[in-house]
Amino acid sequence: MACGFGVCLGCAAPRSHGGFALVCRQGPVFEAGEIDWAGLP
Amino acid sequence: MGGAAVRGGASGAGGAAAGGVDERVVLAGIPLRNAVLTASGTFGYGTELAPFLDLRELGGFVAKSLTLEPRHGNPPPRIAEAPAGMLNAISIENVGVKAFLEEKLPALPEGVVVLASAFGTEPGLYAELAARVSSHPRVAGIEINASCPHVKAGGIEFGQDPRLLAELVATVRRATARPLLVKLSPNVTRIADMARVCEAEGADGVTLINAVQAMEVDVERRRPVLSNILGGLSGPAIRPIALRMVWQVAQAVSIPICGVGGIGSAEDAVKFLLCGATAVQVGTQNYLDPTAAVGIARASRTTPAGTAFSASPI
Repeated sequence: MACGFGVCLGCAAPRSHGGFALVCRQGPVFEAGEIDWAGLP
Repeated sequence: MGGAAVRGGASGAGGAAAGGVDERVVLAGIPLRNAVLTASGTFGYGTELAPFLDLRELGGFVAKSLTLEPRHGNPPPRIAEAPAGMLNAISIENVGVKAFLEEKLPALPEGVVVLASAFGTEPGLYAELAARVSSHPRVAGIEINASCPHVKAGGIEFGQDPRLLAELVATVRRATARPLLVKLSPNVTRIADMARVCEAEGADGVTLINAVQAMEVDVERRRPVLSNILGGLSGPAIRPIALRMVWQVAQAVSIPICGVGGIGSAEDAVKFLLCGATAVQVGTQNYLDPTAAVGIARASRTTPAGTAFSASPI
């Protein structure tokens, strides 16, 4: 995570229904089903 | 060509500020509040920072690069640390031009100078985007992103081939009467040639440099760190490269230059002005310190006349 306030877009986590969530702004805690775990590094 | 001529038309727009220094700057026909902007992609749409900072303290800001349609970026990992800098491969994730014009711009305080950054995979798409943003009164100017180092198509390929760059600049030039800057890639052999192409095709100025194409390797996993394999190196690591290129371009063209690359302090910013830049952009430093650009802009207001921010280029 580079910035922590939603501008660098570096902390993107893949959503299970497509697109990405920013861990810094939409997280850091998510419902487990929201995240595409297989898409994480 | 003399440095003073290169900077011609760049100085304050008349009327000294209270401190005796007129910090106002005209860049490529864009009246800025001072010489310090934030770089595209490092300051979002301004709305993220507006609750914490008075964006009117900035000379202006360049919004995240836009495409005609909303666009998702690369899968993670998108960023990596590097010595004195960072790598990124975001790939122009953005809300699309419609949401930018209808939601993001109106949410910014009046008086903030906004430049839109245009991206596309072919010249016609850049031009259509430029025309769309030109219809909005809040867009003071347009910066063509001809240099993104980490997308599969578009961006850097325009910035590395002088014929493609000429076609791109000419096509966008026909689509907008707004002040037009072209952000150049450092990933070329002769940066001055690319700047000359921009000048010949009607650009009002050039911004340089974008990130330096780079990669990092994870030894434990025996694979590249970034999902995209290649990314762009930014931060203090590239500042001497940026200074060198700004100086070279200042010798080659008479359109103004916006200098960017590893600026973290007012002293760094002055280095770019001394190399011939009319204004500067703060990029990666915003991640370390979101107040950095505002702090440098304040320094530009309080620097005594005749020195530093108002000095003649080398």
